[in-house]
Amino acid sequence: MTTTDAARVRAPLPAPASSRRRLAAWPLRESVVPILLAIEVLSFSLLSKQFLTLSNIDNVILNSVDLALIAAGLTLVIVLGGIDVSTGQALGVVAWCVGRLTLAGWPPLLVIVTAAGLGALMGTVNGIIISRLQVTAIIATLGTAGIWSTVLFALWGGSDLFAPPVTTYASIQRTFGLPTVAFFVLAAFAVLWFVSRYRAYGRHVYAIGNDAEGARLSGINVVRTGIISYAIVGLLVGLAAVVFMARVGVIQASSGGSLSLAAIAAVVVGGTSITGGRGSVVGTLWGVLFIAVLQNGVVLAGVPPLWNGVLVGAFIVIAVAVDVTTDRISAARRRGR
Amino acid sequence: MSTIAARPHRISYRLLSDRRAFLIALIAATGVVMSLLSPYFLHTDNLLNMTQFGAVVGLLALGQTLVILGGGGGIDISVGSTLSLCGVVMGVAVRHNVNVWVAALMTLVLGLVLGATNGVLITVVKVPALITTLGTLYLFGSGAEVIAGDTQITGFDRAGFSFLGHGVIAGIPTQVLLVLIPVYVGTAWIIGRGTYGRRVYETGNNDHALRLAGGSPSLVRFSLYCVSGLLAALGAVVTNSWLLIARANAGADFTLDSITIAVLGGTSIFGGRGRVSGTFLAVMLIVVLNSGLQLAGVAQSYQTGILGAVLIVSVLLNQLVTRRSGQRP
Amino acid sequence: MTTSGPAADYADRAGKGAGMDVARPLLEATSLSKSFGATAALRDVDLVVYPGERVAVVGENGAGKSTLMKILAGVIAPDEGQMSLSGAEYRPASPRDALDAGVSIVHQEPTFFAQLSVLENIFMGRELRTRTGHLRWTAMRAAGRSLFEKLRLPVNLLDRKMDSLSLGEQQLALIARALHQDARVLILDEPTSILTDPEVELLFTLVEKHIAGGGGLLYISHRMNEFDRVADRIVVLKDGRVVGTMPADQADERRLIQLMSGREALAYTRETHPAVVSPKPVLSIRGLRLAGVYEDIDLEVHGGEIVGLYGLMGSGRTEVALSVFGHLRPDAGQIVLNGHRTRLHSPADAIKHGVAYVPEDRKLLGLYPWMTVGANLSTVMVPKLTRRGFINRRAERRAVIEGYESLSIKSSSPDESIQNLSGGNQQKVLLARWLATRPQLLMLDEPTRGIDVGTKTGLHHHIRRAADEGMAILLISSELLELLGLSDRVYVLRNGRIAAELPGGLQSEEAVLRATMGVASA
Repeated sequence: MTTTDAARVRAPLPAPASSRRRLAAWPLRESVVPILLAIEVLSFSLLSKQFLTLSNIDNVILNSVDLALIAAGLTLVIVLGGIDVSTGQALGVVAWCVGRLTLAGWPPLLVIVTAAGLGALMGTVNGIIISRLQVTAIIATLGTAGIWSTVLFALWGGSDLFAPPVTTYASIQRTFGLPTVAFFVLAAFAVLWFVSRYRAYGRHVYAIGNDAEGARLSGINVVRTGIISYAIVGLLVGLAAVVFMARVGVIQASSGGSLSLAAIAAVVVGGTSITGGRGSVVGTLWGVLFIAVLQNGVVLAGVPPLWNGVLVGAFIVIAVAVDVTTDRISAARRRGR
Repeated sequence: MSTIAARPHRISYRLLSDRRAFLIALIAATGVVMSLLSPYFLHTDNLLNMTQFGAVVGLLALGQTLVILGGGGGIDISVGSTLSLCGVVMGVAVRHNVNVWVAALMTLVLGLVLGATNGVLITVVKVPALITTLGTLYLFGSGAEVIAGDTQITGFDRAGFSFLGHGVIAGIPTQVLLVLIPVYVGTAWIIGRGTYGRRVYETGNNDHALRLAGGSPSLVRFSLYCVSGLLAALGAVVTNSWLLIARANAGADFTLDSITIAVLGGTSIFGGRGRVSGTFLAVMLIVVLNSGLQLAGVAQSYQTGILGAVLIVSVLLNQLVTRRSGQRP
Repeated sequence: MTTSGPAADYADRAGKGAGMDVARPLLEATSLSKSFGATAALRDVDLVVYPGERVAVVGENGAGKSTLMKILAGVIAPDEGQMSLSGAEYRPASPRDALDAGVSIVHQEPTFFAQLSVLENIFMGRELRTRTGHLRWTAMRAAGRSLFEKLRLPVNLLDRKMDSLSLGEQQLALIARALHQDARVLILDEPTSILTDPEVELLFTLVEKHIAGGGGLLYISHRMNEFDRVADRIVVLKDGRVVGTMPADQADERRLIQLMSGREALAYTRETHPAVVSPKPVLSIRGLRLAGVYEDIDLEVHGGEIVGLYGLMGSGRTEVALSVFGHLRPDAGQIVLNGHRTRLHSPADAIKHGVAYVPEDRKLLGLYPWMTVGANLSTVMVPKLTRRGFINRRAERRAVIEGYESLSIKSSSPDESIQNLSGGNQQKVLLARWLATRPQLLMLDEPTRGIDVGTKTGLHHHIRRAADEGMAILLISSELLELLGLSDRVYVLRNGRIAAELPGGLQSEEAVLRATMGVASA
């Protein structure tokens, strides 16, 4: 990045007209994904009669709730300027425990609390390694991803674990005609949105993502904020594991692993900057929906499911490329050139 | 002696801070433990068999090392998918009766093109490397699945192609002797002594400074992604010759491994610091570890966890040493 | 006037008979000392600020101003000495402590949270919360609004992202932030260098309001013409010591400069006047313009001549050099090198034309931190040293040793890490990097910034020698005496335009300062 050069070139002379400014300030970035989602929904509903049926909407929701929960937490960490590539592997471990405890006849609520606690614990481990011990986030979580996946492998021990859903709330229960679990997920997003907007902790996450040293100088406890953020991701991973178990019903040696990168993809498509300091859980919700609808709609439209990844990959790159380019254009506008 | 990477003076510092010393000690320790656990460990044919496994992941880790070395947040998490796609395309070509060696050559070109795609997105469009290669990870990976369908592609065992993956020369597996070692030696030579290597280090150290010194950091970075793609394609060729089947998920597990190995080998994730020889030692460690685990009757999957732990511990240790010596990490 | 120490200041002030109650100093620092390694940055410094008093701190680069400010603002702790605020002991462990105690600083190159709004920047770390810890946005917005109204700043700035503001607006927002934090002592470090004239007026108004409320001001600036408006008393620092303190109305520039620089000025005096100058210019610029940065730039540099380019930060001097070096592309105008009109697309182009540029920011734009001294020195020569893709190591070694010797670089071996070298020797390596290419035009941007006096003199000598060997040199420096002492001619840039062309030598000092500040010549 050429921030210094940009700063050098930035005019010390009177600023350009304010009408131009307002144009640049129009929330282009925030509205790109919702608009794309609308186009997507419209075109799929024209292409396939089944797309807008209730059962299909169920499908979309149930297949994406675990991803949504992880991505919600991951948004905080990425805004913070970090990353976590171990979420899927951690989910596998927690999901195995969830299955075991369910089979052992633990009451559902206790299982859920245990899952959340276990997830939070694993997240805290990441947080301590990254924020306290100062290991770069990608390296630390690569390391823990390896460790978690081996832990799951050891737990799995050669035989797949089949288990019923912890509670029907995580699977077939419906409220207002939609899967109940969707409301829980929306509630989680609402809480995170509220926290990121109306709690000092949330604003501190943004401040650290913008300028960690500046945040420290403003009296923000950077280490604690970091550890809490990774713990929150972990907690949501724990909850996601409950849903995952209910959805899939079986745990294998590599269960959950693919969610790590999918969650990053959802956050990034939702407009959160990978370099930190900018983005929101609301954007991530759009990102998750966009990817979920895409994967579902493509199948209904008769494209072989194998094409899913091609489209997801293309959209990750396109979304961020548009983002980066609009950024550069508005920066150039600001310079008045 | 190399004038590239800086060397601090004190010997104790050097021993502790040079990741290679740490790795050699670790390899030796692992070797001792393993040979105590299993008398078979030190047999020559076991030692050589171990290396077969390391050839493919070694190629990917080398590409990864170079990309990370170039700095600016450089990383290539699409290497595994690139390998998958290249392998499958080669399979399709062979299925259509293209000479298998010609197909191998085409595969290398394809790898170069895929790497160049990453390179253009990163250096021209300026999408962060992590995102670009996350996108192409899906893109190439699914591309491989689309092309392969649900099947495995066979038919590589012609025109002596299997020799590459199964042959042995002077007791050393061919893919190690004819591919891995020459590629590492050549790359080490070019990166350590060549003008290109100097430019890579300069890019990773300070791209602004290189530009003001008349170089082109973007071009260097672009080329690094091309090289990474090329090496992944080479990995695909070796895989096809070794396993004699091409699968759409052949490279799936390699991405994280390659990054782990590169970082374990001492390459700084921020670029500008690291050595090809360090990566080579890290590959050796993995090979020894893997083989030892197999002999000890422990499943291969444990290796991932052990590596993860070693990765974190080695970075922590390294930080401790650099902080002690008063230099910023 | 050169009496120093709190007691003398007190007497001074009491004697002046200021109408205010001055019984107790607002901020008092006694015997502050601070060393970084072997260098003593501050030695036994005393400083007092009374309520309602404005104190300007002046001194050359490296005199210890920023160290002093950092100690006062809690960024670093002093090795020795005490501080007190309104009589109570003041020992900030962090900038936050300092803020809570009422000491607030706005740095010259401020840091802020670029993607957050001005309002959030103002309240970051000190948010208004309910008892349950929720943020009270409405209350914060109201407070921000009334703050801005009180300061007469545009209220609509509050909800704008910091990133979308001009540099001047950012600076004002940060000063507002500092004032909002119940600052009793406000420290401003070169605040006006990036402000437009109306913004400067606004700043002075802010300061007056702050002072009227009984607050104190510490003001660091190089713009001496501002002192009669923003200072009651001037404290002069040199080499980490207070060398003088005087009421602002008794201060004149000459005396201040004398105090700041001492006898050092003599060292700059040219030995070889007049220079032997090539008849045709090596560099000639006509009507160069980069929108919003500089315009109508005409200048010439001949071989054998050192031409100074002077201007305040943000006046466009670095950008002019970067344009000649092909790093920035001007919108209009011509760059003529050796009589050929050229279009430069990159530094590589410029290098081919025999242009060299030593950047201002060594760390950011010059050094390869994890490479050896040798590799740092030879980087520009690498293409020439290459045979069939590989570097000819023996030739590289020779070139590096040559550079070492010609600039007497102190380093145990070319294989040593560049980080082991002192700042001065690092700068020599950068200079050697470019001298080794035997350029026709050498542009030096702040070549002696942050370098000890001994090495500085050495560098001056090398620069002079390069010119005597026929090189054309464009020298950018904020240190006026250095610039005047070295240069044969000086161009003064003001707000992106050439304000004057003057002969070199110390006698031009006043004229340069007048041109810089836009004061009509006497």
